[in-house]
Amino acid sequence: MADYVFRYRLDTDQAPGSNDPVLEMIRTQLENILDVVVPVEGRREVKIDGFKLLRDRGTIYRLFSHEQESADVFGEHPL
Amino acid sequence: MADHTIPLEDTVPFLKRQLESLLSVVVLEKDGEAVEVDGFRMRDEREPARGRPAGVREGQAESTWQDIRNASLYEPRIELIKRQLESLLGLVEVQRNGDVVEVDGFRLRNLKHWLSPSACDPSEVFGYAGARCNCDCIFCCNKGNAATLALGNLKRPPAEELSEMMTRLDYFYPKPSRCLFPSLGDIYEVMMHPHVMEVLRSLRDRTPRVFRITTNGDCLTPETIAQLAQMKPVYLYVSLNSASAERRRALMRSRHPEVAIESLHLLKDAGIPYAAVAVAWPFGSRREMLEDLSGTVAYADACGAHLVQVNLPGYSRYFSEEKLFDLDEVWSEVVSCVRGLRSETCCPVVVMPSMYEENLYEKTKNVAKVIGVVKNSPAARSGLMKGDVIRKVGGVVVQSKPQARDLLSFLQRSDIREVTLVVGREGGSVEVPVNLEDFTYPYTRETDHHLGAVFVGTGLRLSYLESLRGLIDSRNAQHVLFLSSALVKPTFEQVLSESHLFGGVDVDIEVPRNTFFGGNVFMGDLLVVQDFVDCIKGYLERGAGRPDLVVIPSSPFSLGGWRRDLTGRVYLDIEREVGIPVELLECSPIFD
Repeated sequence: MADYVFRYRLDTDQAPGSNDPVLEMIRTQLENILDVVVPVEGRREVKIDGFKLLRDRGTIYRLFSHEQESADVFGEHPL
Repeated sequence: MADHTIPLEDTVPFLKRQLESLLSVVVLEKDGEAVEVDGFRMRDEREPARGRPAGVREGQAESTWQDIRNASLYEPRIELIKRQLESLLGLVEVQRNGDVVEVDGFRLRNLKHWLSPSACDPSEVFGYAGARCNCDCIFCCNKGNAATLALGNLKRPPAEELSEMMTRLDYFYPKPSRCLFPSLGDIYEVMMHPHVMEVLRSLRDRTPRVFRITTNGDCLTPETIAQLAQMKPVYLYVSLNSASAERRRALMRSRHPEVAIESLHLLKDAGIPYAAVAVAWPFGSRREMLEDLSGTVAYADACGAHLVQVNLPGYSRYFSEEKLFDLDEVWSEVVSCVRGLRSETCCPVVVMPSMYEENLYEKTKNVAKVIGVVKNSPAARSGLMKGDVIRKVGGVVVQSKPQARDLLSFLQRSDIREVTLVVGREGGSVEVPVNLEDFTYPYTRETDHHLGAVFVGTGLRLSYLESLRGLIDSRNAQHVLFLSSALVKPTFEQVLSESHLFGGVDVDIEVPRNTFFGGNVFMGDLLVVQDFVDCIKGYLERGAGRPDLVVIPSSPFSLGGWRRDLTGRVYLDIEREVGIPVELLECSPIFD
């Protein structure tokens, strides 16, 4: 007998949330991954709350940003 | 045209790698058919992403899609794949032979990739038979579930459920302890599934483990019981609720109340041990309810029940927005009634959640006090009695209830034939030699746990305190906020005050409200992320100082092992919202 098929619906009908969809995709994907894994450095668990692009190390993009957050010296671009 | 931080053309290799990676584990679908793709192109930004054209094919059963919320609880990597695909498909269109193809879903490519560590309990296969019910209990807890709970049921034909169960059986590996990730929703009546016997028989070929089946009893005809008897070891939890046909019909809207009532005799005759379960729902007058409960317990006892389990009633705000009864009034009356019944019955009578009784009546918690002894068990035949406190097992000094349970459980599974218990009884100490081979129905080695001794709940393991200290040290914390539950807090406070591990550390204990479920629900294991967030924020607002660590028992996040609450939300969101480090203290659910 063939395996039961585990099927999941895709919803690609989402409203555009940003005028910079590639950056938004990276942010979303990082957030999604951080709901499933814990990053480590060596054996030490590392909590991260943002990222920089390799070609622009002066700008931090926050993950899971919330209201209390303030911009740091580099300037932030919450999405 | 938007000024992009990353030019779209620079992202092509990145998108390609991601798509290839995702398509190595899933197959895209359109209208229920697999869609193989071999390329992609960037979407034209001037046109919004084309929506899911239909999502569900004309005539295709909605239920053939799995519930993604359920996956977010049990196997969030599937949710991750879904989100990653959706994120990518917002930017690109997939192609086949140069033509754009539309997709509306995906399927898992190879189920062998999706095996999870598992205890491989048989219910992980036959539980999927419990998709519907032939009763309609007025207190059914499934009626009180929120729509956002990750435990919804798929509506699909029984043949499809059978297909899933047989597939799960194909990937059921008790030896390496692995099986397919679970996707169980609410479980209703397993025994009414038209294919359940077929599944159970196939399961019996794969595992010798006990089939522990919860049933309302309406299907327990002589024929069904005879079939179950061929598949021992089997243990049934029969939701009897009342031994009166009239009351059972009213409480459960059972069409054939006499079937379940009669089944207790038949189960005994067939040598199938069972627990008779009754929800002490305040239906009619309180007195009426307690009288019926007494009669039901007496009936089950006379029918040779292994034990009687009395469930204290509760309801969520989704079940009723109105207050239906005073919880403490009803619960304390029921517990008092049960304590009286114990002196009249042979079989143990337990109240769930059991810690409520311990909190009401026991000044010192976590003690290995016996509240009942299974008839014809080694414990019963050796003379162990209700009220005995186990102090030594085979020369090992017992310091807590979980330790006593562990020792007795170990003995039961071992080849040891005799052991001597030392028990506290009527102010003195008594030696009780136990012959582990001296037993008969309703006790069996396969279905029992502690040689027949029954305690008030599982208790709190003292090793949790050492783990807590370890967490505190790992964070160099001085001020710790520990989030407990109303039921566990008294025991936790006691063991904490008896411990010497916490010098120099302030440990504040708070009990979050079950706002998510509401009603009179107050079980710690039913708390969700938002309840914990609200509790911590409330603590901070009260000016009790900012803790440098919050510790939460892991049990509310234990389903599936991915640290998700019952809505599928990950515990890490608590720390993200309150900005204070949060650690989970590994522990088993204490509810017993």
